Amino acid sequence: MEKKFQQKLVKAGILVIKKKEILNMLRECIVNLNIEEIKQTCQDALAVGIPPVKAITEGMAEGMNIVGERYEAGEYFLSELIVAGEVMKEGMKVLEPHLKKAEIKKLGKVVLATVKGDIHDIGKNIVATLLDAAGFEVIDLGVDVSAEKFLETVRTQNPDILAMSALVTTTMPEMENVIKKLAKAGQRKKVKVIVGGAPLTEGYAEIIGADGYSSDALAGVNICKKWISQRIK
Amino acid sequence: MHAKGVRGGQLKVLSRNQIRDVHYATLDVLQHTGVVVHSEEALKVLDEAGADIDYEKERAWIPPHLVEEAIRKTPHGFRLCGRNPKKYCKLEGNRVYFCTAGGPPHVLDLNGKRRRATIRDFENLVKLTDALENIDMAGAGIHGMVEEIGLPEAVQHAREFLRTLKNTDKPCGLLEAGRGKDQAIDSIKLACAVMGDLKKLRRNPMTRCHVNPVSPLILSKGLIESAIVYARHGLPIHFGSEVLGSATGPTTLAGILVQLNAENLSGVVVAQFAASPEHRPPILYGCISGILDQRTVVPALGSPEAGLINAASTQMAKYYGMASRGSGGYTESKIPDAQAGYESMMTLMMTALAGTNLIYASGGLEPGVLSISYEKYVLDNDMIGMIRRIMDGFRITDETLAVDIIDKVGPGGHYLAQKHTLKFITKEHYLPTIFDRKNYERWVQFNSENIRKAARDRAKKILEEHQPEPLDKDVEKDLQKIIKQIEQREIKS
Repeated sequence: MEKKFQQKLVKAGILVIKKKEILNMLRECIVNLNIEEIKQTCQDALAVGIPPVKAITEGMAEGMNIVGERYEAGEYFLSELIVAGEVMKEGMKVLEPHLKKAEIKKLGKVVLATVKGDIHDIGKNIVATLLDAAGFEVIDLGVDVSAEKFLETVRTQNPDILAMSALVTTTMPEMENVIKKLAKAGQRKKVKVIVGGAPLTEGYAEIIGADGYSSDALAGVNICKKWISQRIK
Repeated sequence: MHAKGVRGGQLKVLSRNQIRDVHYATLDVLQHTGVVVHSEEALKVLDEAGADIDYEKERAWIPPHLVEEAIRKTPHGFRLCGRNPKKYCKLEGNRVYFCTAGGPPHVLDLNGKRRRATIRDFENLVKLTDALENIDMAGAGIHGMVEEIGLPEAVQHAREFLRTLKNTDKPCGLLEAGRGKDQAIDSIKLACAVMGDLKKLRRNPMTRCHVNPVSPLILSKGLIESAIVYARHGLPIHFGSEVLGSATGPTTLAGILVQLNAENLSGVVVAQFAASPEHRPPILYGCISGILDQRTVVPALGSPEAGLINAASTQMAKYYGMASRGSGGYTESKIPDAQAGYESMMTLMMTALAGTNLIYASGGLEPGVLSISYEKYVLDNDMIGMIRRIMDGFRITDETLAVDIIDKVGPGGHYLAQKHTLKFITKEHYLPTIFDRKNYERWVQFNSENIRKAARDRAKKILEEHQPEPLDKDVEKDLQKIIKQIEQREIKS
């Protein structure tokens, strides 16, 4: 939109309403999984002068919150939760280049992977998508990842959180192995460790010395969010 | 409710040749053993048609050609309507509809207590049926409520008619008349008041006559004379034989089937030869048969044998080109427990897959369905949802074969974020309303909830929130007038 035209709208008192409307539209795009219109709506937001940070926090992120609530209430399917994350990602492609450097700061950094011996990754991928949509920087190491690789990444990348996944019961002990190796190398205290996967239980997570466990992706993301907010305090 | 029904007919327990064997054996029984008919009027109908009659012994021997002629005269099926004619069940071919149980004097209430049913229970259960999405038809509710003990049958029946209509516009099982001529005429009057006139009622039948032959091989006076009234009005009649294998029928399943068939067909012959050629009554060929449990001396209708008999009876109905009615959702259990679940699922699934047009009795408990359970109404509703899904089977098109999507996602990818997934998820996957699929941790989080509690909670919620479509005020006034007349007639005499 031309700046002159924008000013005209402001003078006419239309622009104020328009901003609110566009924030609503951003939220609705996420809630309605509208991947076709999210990019244009983000561009509209920039055009009417909504700061990109505001477009994210008061627009798309609010939409994600609503989707999350609906998923937890059993109204939305897992697929809808994932697609909402993808819609948000599309929107971010438009908004991110306009963020100031200081604003790009992510919520926190998470390294995640499926442990050695296990190549199941759908659960891990869901967690990665949701973490990304929640504003985390996600380093996904993939599947069948060795303890050494975990250790090296923690050392070089300094993540806030290490997230491990296993589906097969026989690979569960590998999680304990990683945690022990981290401790041995003196790296255990600098990261929070969260584990997940169908055969795991809260009790098992405790025994192997993890800091957190979740039986589903969204709850896992919420635990990560809680850890980060506690750290900021 | 699903007016078009789901299609069954996948299960066949009899071959074509076996069906013929049963048919011929039945003709043999009707011709050589015959039936007892406790009604001079019905015997006259059979006499005029050409059967051999012994008026003194009230016995009729029906030759094969009469039976086969009566079968030919019978319409292929009919549309059973609710008070709203747009809500109907097309009882024909392989269409399947599900109906709640009715008739018993007890309920297992929302506190888990078995007690005599009240008028309030009656209204509640009809209301529940109205709200439950997988139930097509309201069963006969309860009969013999505490408040109405001692009232004449005809009065109770007429009041139940109105009570049902006030709480649902789905088709109803209650609107049945089989307890004598007066009541048959009452029912038709009441139904005419709802539909407008007899012609409209014939086009949109909302009441049907219910006849249970007395096994072995007896047609009782009240029932068969009601059937004659309905036949002469061209309105549907249900013949539902109640053979109990090893007691009121042979022990062998084939023998039970032959006797059941003979009892039903003897009724069909009376009905079709009593009717005028312009208005042939549609027939609902029914089965309420099973076996007697010789240890506890109760009818076992949740038994595998009952499942087989029901499926076979449906095949016989289809062979004759008549609408079928069977029993599914029966259990001998006293509470909605594992046994209730297994037996109900087995009998529901067998009748559904057999393609029984009207499957009667979900929500009931105990041998002989002596009580109705609020919880089981809701549980069976979920079970029927699953069965509907199974009957829907596979839809094979290029889009459902999904080759393009499989290619797009490729090895190692996932389908969660595909449009294809969102498009088909609710079409292809049935989501239970209350059956629990949470993992252990989440289940514990939700107070380790028992399925019975979930069922109770849903029942309570429906009863608090659900508002049935209101009954037209003028129609209600008309019905009340007729009920008054019936009360005056019955209570005086």
